[in-house]
Amino acid sequence: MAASKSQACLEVRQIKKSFRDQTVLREVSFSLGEGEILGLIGPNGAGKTTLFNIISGWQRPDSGSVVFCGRETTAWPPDRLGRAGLARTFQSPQIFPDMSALENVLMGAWLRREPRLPLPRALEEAGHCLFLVGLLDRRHALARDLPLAQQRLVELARALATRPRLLLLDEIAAGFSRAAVQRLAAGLLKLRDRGLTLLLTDHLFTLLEAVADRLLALDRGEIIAQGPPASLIRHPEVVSAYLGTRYGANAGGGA
Amino acid sequence: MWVGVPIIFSGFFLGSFYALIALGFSLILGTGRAFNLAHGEMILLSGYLAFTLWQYFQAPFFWILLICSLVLMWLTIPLHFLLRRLPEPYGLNTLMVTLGLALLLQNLLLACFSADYRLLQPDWPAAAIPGLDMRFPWQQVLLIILALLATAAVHLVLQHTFLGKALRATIQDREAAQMAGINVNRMALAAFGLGGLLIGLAGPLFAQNMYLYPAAGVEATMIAIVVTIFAGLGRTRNILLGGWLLGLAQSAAVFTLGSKWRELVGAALLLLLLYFRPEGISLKKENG
Amino acid sequence: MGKFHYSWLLTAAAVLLLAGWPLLFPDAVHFQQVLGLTCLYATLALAWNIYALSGAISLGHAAFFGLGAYASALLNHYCHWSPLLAMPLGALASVAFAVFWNWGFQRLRGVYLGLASLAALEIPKTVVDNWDRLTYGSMGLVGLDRLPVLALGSFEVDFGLNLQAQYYLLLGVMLLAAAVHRQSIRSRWGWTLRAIRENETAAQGLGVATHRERGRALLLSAYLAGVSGGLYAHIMGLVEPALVFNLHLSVLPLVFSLFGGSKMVWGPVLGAFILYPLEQLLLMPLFPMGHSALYGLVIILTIFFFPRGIAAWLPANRKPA
Repeated sequence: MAASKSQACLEVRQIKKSFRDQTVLREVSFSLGEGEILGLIGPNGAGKTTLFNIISGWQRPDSGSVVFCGRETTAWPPDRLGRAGLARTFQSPQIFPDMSALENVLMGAWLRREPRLPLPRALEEAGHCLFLVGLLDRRHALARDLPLAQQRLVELARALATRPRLLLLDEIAAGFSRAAVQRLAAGLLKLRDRGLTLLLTDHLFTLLEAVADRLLALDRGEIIAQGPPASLIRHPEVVSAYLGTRYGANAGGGA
Repeated sequence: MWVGVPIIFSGFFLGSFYALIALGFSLILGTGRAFNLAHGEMILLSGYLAFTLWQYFQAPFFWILLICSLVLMWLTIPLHFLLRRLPEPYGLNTLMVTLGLALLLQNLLLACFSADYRLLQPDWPAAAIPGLDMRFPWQQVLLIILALLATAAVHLVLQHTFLGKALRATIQDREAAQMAGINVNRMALAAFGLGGLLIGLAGPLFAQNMYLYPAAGVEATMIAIVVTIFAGLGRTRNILLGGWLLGLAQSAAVFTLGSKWRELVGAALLLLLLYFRPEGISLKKENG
Repeated sequence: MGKFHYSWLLTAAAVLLLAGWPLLFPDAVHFQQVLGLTCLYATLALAWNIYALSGAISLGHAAFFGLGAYASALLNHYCHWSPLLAMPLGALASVAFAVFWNWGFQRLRGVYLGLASLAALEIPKTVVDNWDRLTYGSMGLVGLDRLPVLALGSFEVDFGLNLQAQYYLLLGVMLLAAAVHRQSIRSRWGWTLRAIRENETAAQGLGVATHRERGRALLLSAYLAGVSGGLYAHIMGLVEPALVFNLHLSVLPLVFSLFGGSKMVWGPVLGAFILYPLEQLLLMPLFPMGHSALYGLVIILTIFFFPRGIAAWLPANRKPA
């Protein structure tokens, strides 16, 4: 089950983080191989977003380290990580509100890509990424006018346009319909086949089940279980962490 | 006499005034989230009104204070309704609109009164303190008394009245206050009204003790901003402290370096404050 | 392609008009002077707007203007440098101050950046005002060289005394600044600034070094503002603190850019050419005191009724894609 590629894309070592007197993350460690899809689950407040923030440079851990593509990136700012090939989406989609969907994705393909793309090529790439997420027909719509779920997809397309090595998805499927989740899952798997490494967190177990090679269960700042989705769902600690709530129920709304 | 004595007295005097002008600004900012760059010009407006009442109507000072306070209140309340309609980014937009207002007021005053310096000079005696070779004009004493009274009054209102508690709640956390059932717009209205009273009160005191000229508003606004940011929102005691510290620093600078350095003191303090507190004023206070 | 031709046509027509009218009215000296200054303030507005494109509203650009004016004046007064040399080099003083800004204000945004910029104006103003030995303090420097005479063979153009020639010089500088401004919108770097302006978090996530790019915009903006300050010094022949470090000079570029349209290539120029002649030619004779109230009114009306500026109403100005 371990990734066939030997190089670990991401290594998180003993990350500790506290806010005032509350410990949010205690000694969290895991690693992610190239081409692997790792899912992070846990109740709200378990520390998932903080972990994401630390990995992507928005926050510093109190101790521990992050190693990305063999380089120690713990203290790196987000833009430096972005240039190194790490992309992420946010729970509240961070779009460019006064740009169209296409222009948003163009920013990903054009601004800081190495090697630098000429504008026509970048526009092509942007169009292609929008097509991948199924929003090509909405490419001229203003991003601020799009519904939340589509804004998330635009943010995803923009992240993809940067040709990242590692993509972090923070609850990307929130509010997605069943069909949309399936399309997303299929799309993510295809991207993995083309070399993308993925770390995602979500409450939607159907997505994780379809896509993740391995799951990590986080509760109150520590990893309580690891393993393939099928076995984790039965793990007693995981179940009790969620207070016995059944995973299978898909709460996704929308058309 | 030790050179520090005039500095301390001057600092105390100026500082009390600074606290007064910062009070109104702080209330409006804290409750209404509005940055009123026309604050100083509104004080000037009140000051010129006081001057006119004194010069042409020989009105007694008590009446001048009353009239100016009420008139300014009736000016800040429409301002509240005007600013409410602004879109996001709200803070920046209020800054720019009030900048426009400041320009308007400044030029209006220029057109009506010209750039000449004006001073309201009642025939009041000066008080002397035995043992100290200093005389204090009654204007200055009155300013200090009124400034302290006003600060105390605001403090009492905020701490011990129902309105005050609602105001403080709105200042501390607007959303939480709204969820608790407080009508935050009405709170902002009250704050603008109260702020207007304070601005109106400051005007005649300004006119008595410092020279009125149309361009003086900018510095007054800057002072209100510095003291407000120093104090944090809704904390009247800190406003007094901040005012005194600023007054002291300015007096010391003027005595040692010369009067042309006065304006820089406030500006430099503001820059220092902003360097260490880039958020300016934290919206949610951690320790009450 | 049709839309593209339309905007080029409009631009060409406007430039022709700006360049041609003095030839039709060679004796309208007063107009030439006013419109020359309009070009100067338009240059300042363009400079200001370049910084605004990165999302920063500055209330302190008078500092850059004044530093450029004083640096050029000092170089001219003490080292006897020709204005043509002193102006572009004097503007480096503005850049130096901008470096300080960039470091000190790096964590400030929005309102607090505006307030800090307002306060920062006091620093060079007070220093210049008090450094009597060097700058003559409040009295200022007088007797500066006017803009020089350009002699090509037997053809002589006196930029200092010939107001028509001066107008063309200022127009030329403005067009240069407009070209730089245009690149700051339409180039890849321009889109980088726009990304920073619209969502700094997202821009950083994409790998944009936001601090560095904002710094670049600021330094460029400060330099151009400094050049306009230098021009002002040599047109007037004198500098004094109250004149060149005046808050009015911080407000003018803001009003022009906002009114004309801050996101538009020609926005600041449009704002300047509509408002400044209006104030100088119509309002000032009627209201010798208080005519600047126009700008206050314009800011208020602009923010409430057309926040995108009036240029947004012109059909040729759709966002470039």
